[in-house]
Amino acid sequence: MDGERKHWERPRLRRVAPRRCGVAEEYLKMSNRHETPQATIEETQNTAYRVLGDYLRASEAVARNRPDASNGGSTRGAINYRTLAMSMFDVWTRLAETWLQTFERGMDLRQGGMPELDAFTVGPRGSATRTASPETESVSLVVHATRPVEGRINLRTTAIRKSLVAHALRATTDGLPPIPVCVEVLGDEVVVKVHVGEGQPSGTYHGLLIDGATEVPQGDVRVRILES
Amino acid sequence: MTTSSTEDDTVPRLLEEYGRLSQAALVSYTRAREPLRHLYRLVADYPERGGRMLRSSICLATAAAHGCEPRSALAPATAIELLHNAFLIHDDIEDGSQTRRGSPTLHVAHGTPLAINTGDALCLLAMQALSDCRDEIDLSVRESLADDLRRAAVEAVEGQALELGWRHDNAVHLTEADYLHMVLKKTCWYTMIFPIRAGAQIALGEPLAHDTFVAFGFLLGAAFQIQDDLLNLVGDEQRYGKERNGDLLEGKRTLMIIHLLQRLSGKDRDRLVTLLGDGVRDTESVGWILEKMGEHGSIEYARLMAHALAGAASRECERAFGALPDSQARHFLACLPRWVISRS
Repeated sequence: MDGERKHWERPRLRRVAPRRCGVAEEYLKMSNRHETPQATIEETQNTAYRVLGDYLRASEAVARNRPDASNGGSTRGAINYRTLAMSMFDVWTRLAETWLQTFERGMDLRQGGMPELDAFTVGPRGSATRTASPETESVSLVVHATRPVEGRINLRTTAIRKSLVAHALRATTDGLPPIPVCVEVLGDEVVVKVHVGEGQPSGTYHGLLIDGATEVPQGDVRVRILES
Repeated sequence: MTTSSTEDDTVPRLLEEYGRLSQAALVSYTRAREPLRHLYRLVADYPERGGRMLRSSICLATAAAHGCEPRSALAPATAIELLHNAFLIHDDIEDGSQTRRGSPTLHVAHGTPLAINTGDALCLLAMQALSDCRDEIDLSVRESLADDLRRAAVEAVEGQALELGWRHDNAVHLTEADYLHMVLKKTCWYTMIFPIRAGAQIALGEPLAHDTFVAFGFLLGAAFQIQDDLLNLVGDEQRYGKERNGDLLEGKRTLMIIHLLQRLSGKDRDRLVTLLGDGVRDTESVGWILEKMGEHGSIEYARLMAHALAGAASRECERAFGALPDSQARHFLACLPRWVISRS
């Protein structure tokens, strides 16, 4: 194992003809759309959390194929399916928070240069995930389902208007049908209603709440349908 | 949790302090012994060139932020630095790099066979460092640390395979998501996620769920890697320690190249694709690529992406460590997102 004596040279590169890599073609549509610094920041954070979610899903698949995976996985930190499912849920929560914070920060970036550390703006701790508090108890979430579900509504502001509209809940797993959401105003109370159909696949679903008058996001709704 | 100003000296100051601790621990594994000439002298070469000891410092800082003596996390901190140096040697061979930390790379100085063997030895020493702590660390934590180290190493080689594969196949339709996915595996796990998790597990005395701190480590590591790629193009070679434009010469799919491939069309794009496939071999080609990157804002775009990721990392840091008591170590962690994108 004696070392070679001659001076090492960069190896001659031998490349095949260009071809599509195909590593993540589903992302191709996401590229090359950033027209402003603000759009780049939003899209970057969006993409990063999407990559993270995909990574955790892939980790789950790998864990399922491991020979020592049993009863929900190891308890000593390798993989725990229940924790993993919750973490994927959490990734989408964080993405929603990121969107909300980005929208809320406004569009005051200096064009053509680095922003004034805009992407670092951090609100009061926990403000992004504050659930209904006494100030916001006039907004409630009702989930109709014949199967076990977990539902949660996060509000970004205490000044919820009656012009609130809700986006359909989209699954964090590709290919699952969305869940329709409606908003009803009953006197002073705003009720966000989610109807989970009998055939709706298990999984985690997520959707934004928007002020219909200003189109500013006000919060988000998440529903997890458990295996019956 | 307070955020930092760019003038805050917490990161460089604690990097120096934790770096000294880590370096002292590292020396016990790289000390001179036989076979000296063809192995242990080479094992000590890269560590003695004075790296920043970032990974070990993050590990010690996380332990300290959780109220633990930084020294108590020296075993995983040493292990990750040894593994890092092993990866550097092998990476330099794979990339054909000529300089590292201001001096010729190990394979240039001593030949490829000895360099590969030295990298192998450093990998094994990393495992040794982790198993040497059996008297101080509880078995369940030790097993979890070993799981994490193995995972960090596997993720790194898988990420490296992705990147090498892109070069081998001359992939030209990559996106930002492809890049982030590759960086999550190649860089983030062993540079950020493992050190943070290891420090926390030592301090807490119990294994963590598999995904704890992954988001923070990923976002921080991705911002770090983009800044590293930027420095390769626009940094001061003396301070950066690696050959300027080395990534272009190697046809590496950095974010700037991915952006430029998206923006170019016609003959310009054809020329770039050909250069990436055949190898960028002369200063004229390098100059042309840099000129096009300037025209299309690829460097500014990458800076902005690094900034966005660092901003998100800052929020994840708040989520991860915001409840801990105020301390220098916690402030160090909070300052890292800004530091990684402002370092030169």
